[in-house]
Amino acid sequence: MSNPTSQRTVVVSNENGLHLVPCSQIARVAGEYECEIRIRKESIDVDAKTVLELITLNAGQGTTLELLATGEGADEAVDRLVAMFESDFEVGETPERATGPS
Amino acid sequence: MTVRRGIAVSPGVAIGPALVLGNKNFRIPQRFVSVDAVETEIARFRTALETVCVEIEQNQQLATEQLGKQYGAIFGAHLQLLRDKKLLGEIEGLVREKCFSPEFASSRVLRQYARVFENLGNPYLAERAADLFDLERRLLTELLGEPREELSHLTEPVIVLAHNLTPSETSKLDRNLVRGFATEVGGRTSHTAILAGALEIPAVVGIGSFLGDIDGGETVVVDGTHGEVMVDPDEAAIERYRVSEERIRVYVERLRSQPDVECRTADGERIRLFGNIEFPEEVDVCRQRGADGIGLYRTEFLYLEKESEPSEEDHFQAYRRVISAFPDSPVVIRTLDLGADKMPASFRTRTAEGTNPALGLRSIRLSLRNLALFRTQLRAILRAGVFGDVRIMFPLVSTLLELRQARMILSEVVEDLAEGNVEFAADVPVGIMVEVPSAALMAKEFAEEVDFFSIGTNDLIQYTLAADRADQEVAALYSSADPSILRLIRNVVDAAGPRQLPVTVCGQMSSDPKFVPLLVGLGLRQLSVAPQMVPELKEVLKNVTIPDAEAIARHALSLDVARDVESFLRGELKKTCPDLVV
Repeated sequence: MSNPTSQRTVVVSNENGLHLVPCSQIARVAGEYECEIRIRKESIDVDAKTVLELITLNAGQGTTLELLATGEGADEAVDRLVAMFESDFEVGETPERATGPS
Repeated sequence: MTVRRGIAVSPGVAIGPALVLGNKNFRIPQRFVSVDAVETEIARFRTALETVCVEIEQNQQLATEQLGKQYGAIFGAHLQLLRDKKLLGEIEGLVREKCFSPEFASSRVLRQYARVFENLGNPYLAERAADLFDLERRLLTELLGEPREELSHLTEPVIVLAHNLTPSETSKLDRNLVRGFATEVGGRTSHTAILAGALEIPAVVGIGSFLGDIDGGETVVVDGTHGEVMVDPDEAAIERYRVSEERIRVYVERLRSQPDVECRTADGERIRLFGNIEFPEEVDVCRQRGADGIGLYRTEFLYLEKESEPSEEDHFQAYRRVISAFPDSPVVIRTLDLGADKMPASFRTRTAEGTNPALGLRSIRLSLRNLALFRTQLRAILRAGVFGDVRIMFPLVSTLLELRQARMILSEVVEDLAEGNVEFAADVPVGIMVEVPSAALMAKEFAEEVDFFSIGTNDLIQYTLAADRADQEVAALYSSADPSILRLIRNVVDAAGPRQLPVTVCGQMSSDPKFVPLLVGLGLRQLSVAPQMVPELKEVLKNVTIPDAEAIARHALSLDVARDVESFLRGELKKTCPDLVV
């Protein structure tokens, strides 16, 4: 049986990068899926379901990350995560943006 | 009376008896459990964990309702951490495999990760180690069955003093009883500081070690506007603060409800009050409090939050956000103002070891040595300039040659941009921050070559009096009221006069109500201040006329020691605005 996989590249665009709050949002969403989800920055590759690993990416604004999901729900999981990156983790710790997404 | 200085993170003044929160290093009574107790111990751990999660959920809800969802999200993150399978796996693993007690295991694992956070080389993430200590404390409290007695059983108003306050402790502070707090550690960007600002509890952090000398119960004044903490203030000081504290609070609340009133003196002279900001999101406070624009946008955060240099796009996005909030008002962007000592590791090779950082390679000096970095920032400012009224300000300029060099780089950047096909503003006004005495003394010559001055009093005082305000031994020398400072300001204003150059004063001095009439009397018509202070300062100015202010300035200039200037100004403020006298 073939395992569905889904892979996408995202750029961290929110101001403070992947700090505690965005990492926890990623882990929460990733945790809803059965599939394995990994996030890679250069040579560092971490489990998207754990905040503690995500933090160690130390991914500031502008960092390019690779999302890779393998298993059931891979496509949907990656789509949702990409949407979160694109919305700059809307309910971040910083107040909502006064301007529209740029 | 001892006075301690720290970082002012939440303005206002509070007075009360000290409540020292124990530097509670939980003593873990039992580090190991017997093999057959492992499963019951794990069950005990899970119950404790669940209780803590419920507590955090309550905090999350409370913070979301009272402060907004961005603050609630901090607790959402804590919750996610406590449900982190890696964390739980490691804690339970230690209990199962090594027979660690759950207390010992939790403490060990959380502390290990706190160290990881601290060592990522990212100051913003390093501050998050405090969040892990918070979780450790909560878990241990639950496991050991010790409720946080001190804060939950308050019966009278107190000033909380602690080595550190965790975000959850801060958010739960009873605003009616906890009048203010001060901590030994912490920075401007810690969650604790952010929450204190949102709660509007006067707070000072980063004071350094001072709890050793305090038993609890002493009278303490927390001046969150100036970043000062007074322990055992003398009778006169107590009287001053006590009379004013409550009045100020009530009064300020009323003032804050009318942000749209233009700032004018009693005789109708328009005074512009701009906001000082550090983070783009602070534009919201500036708008709410009715600032006329941004008089000082410090851009250092862009450099500190990353291990690598920020890209042009990083700068551009941040600037654009600030400008979009004030599209029709001035936004003064200050170029990099960091000492090489404060830069991320990647920059550090550029500084000599063992020299005095305040007098070394920093600010504009650093930019002029690292042209690629400087050009990147200038390009972004010019590009963002198309969205509003942007101005560039060079910090720490000490000689005309530096200014000319910086302007030359700027014109090269303009030429570069003109060759490409990006939109940019070519005619952005350029000013300098006057904060080195040499620049203040040479103001007449500088005036020929700049579009505006902004007097940065914090550094100007430090360099003029050769006193570091963070050094207890000499901090008394550091005073905004020093006659030398007033003379330097007058010199700059006079130099700008003939060319009608705009002059602003930024720095803590201009946020202090008693200095504001003096500054206006010296000829200033714009000030850049802590955004929270805008309503109070409008009120002060509404009560003085220009001739009043000029008389105040004349008299202040006739005095020859800082102490006399200070008490004279306080007396004057008492006459015009008794409700604001601290």
